[in-house]
Amino acid sequence: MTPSEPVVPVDRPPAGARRTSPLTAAFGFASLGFAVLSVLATAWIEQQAGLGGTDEGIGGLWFELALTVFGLNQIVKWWFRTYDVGTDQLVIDEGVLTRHHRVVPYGRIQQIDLHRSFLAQLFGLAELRIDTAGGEQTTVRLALLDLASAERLRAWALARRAALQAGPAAAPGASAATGAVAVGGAPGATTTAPWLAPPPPVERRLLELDAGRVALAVLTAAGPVAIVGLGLLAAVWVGAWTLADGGAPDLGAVGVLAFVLVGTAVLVVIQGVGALFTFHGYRLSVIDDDLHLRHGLFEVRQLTVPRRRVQRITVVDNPLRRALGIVSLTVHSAAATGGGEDAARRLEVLSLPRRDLPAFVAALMDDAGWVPPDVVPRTASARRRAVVRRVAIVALPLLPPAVLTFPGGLAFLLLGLLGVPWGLAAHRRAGHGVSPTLSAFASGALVHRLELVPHARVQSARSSRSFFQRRAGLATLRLDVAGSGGSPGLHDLAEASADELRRDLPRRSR
Amino acid sequence: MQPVPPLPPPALLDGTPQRLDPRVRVVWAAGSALPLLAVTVAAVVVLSLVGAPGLLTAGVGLLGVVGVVLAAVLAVLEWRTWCWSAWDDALELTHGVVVRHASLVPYHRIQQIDVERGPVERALGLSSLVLRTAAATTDARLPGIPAEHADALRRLLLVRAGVDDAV
Repeated sequence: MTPSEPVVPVDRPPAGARRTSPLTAAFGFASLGFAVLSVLATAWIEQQAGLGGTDEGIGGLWFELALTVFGLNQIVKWWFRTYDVGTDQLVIDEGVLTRHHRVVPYGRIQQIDLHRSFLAQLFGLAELRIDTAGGEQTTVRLALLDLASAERLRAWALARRAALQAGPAAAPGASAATGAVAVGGAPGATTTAPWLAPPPPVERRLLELDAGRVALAVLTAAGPVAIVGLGLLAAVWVGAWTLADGGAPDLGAVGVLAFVLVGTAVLVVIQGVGALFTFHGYRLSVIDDDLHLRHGLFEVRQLTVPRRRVQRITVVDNPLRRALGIVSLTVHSAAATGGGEDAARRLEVLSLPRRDLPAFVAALMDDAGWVPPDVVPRTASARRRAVVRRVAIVALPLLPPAVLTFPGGLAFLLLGLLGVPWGLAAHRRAGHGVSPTLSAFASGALVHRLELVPHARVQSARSSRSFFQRRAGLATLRLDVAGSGGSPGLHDLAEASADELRRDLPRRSR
Repeated sequence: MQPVPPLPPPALLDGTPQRLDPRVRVVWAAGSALPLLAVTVAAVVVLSLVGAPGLLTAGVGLLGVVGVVLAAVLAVLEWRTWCWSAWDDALELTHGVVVRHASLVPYHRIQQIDVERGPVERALGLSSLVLRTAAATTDARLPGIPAEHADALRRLLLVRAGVDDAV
């Protein structure tokens, strides 16, 4: 958290409708690259093998025609897509037959990311993604811009957002707070007003991870731990099988064992090396009131989430990480970061010493109220239900084999007793806590999860009681928060406290 | 300018528990029974055309009838568990036969309120109010509101919602 270099003041990107980089169409066309190459390769192989019939010439013609149409489509789409950087909003016009006019007010920005793929870096280009509140069609992608324009647009949008939220005084056309003033909002007519400019914002570094810590964080994540666990389990199983078979291990069994172990090691190394590239140069910092995360070697990502737009923070660890005393955090914005490629846009704090968690969260949000409150455990009836449910979950799938191999198969059902330690472990951890700023929900048997939800971001609350829960006087509480990643909450709270929290927590958001 | 219809019952916003309009039972029953009935009739017709055993055809028909009766019973039970209260600052909904759901949506979180009317609802003069917040998971669908009150209730809630980006 050392103050470092000041950030250059923001200047206004040129106004007026502009197109993205002309290379956009070429990149769109190149995205077909693999498909095209594979088709060409197939055609070539067929030709070599003499499989091509008399109609080969016609097939080639169709193929070229399809390619040309696709290429032209990319060019036309690029030509008809323009963006206009306004004082208060970004306007995007696109579409050939049906024109779409989209207005993105800077004040509503939830997250703004700069993404540079390896190819884009070679050409000095970048893709800018702007998210307004969650839902459909709320992500605007400006692909591709030259890097300088993209960075300038991002800085401008953030500065204007801050100015707009500072108060109604920062009216359109009087954006003094940003250090640049657009006179009368006329396109291109900009002039600076140095006497009104605030001191340039300072970047405060919160967390930097070197290769070693990135590797540690990635290798102790649930995925690799599970792979190693499964690999060892398979090795033990193969070993036991061999011993039971006749004592002397034969060559085949040793081969399988070696294959399993080497396969496990290769998988883990691949994950580790991939992560070293993905999270190379990991740096989390605060500029003004925005969280900035930058990482990546071949694929550079710069994520920006305004602090006020943080919807919740999830703290996760697993048995290995607990032994090492580290946790990881996910800072959720309201942007669409659901799955697939979007998951890479989550602001993740890969690794943090557990003892630093309260201080880190307070520094991250610049609010001591974010320190996680103590968690109140659930009632004894919740413990009973936790155990009974898990015993049932384990035993039910074993019921058919147990019945089929009666009476010896009844021993299968004893495996259901595994549900007892599982349920007890899950119950030991579960609980909720409420502080003046936020509510916290803890859960998980092996992988522990702590959800921190600020009262200010709760949209609504739900509780539900199944038939069995009603008999035990319990209920499930869920808080609805904007953004992807489900609704934080807790199973099997006492009915009365679930009802009270459901009525109380959403009202505190005022 | 259109004349403004009278305000609906919860004009006081004092949290008095409200039942849904009883006609909503017909909407729910029809919603599950009509498709079931159509499938049953089609199955019976096809079975008798291909000359299936009479017992099989009768069984399928009976299954359909039982399903329709069950749908009606469920609709009645569902209506009996439904209850909504408009408080000064939030709307509270309670419903569910097998699993009891309860939710609370503060007015200041409302982003949008839709009034939806399906074909059966239109025939019976009912509307559904769908409250939307910035969270996709919010459960705030208020069915069985008499159509003449729906717009007024929507306006009443929107006035309470105020102007805020609420994310």
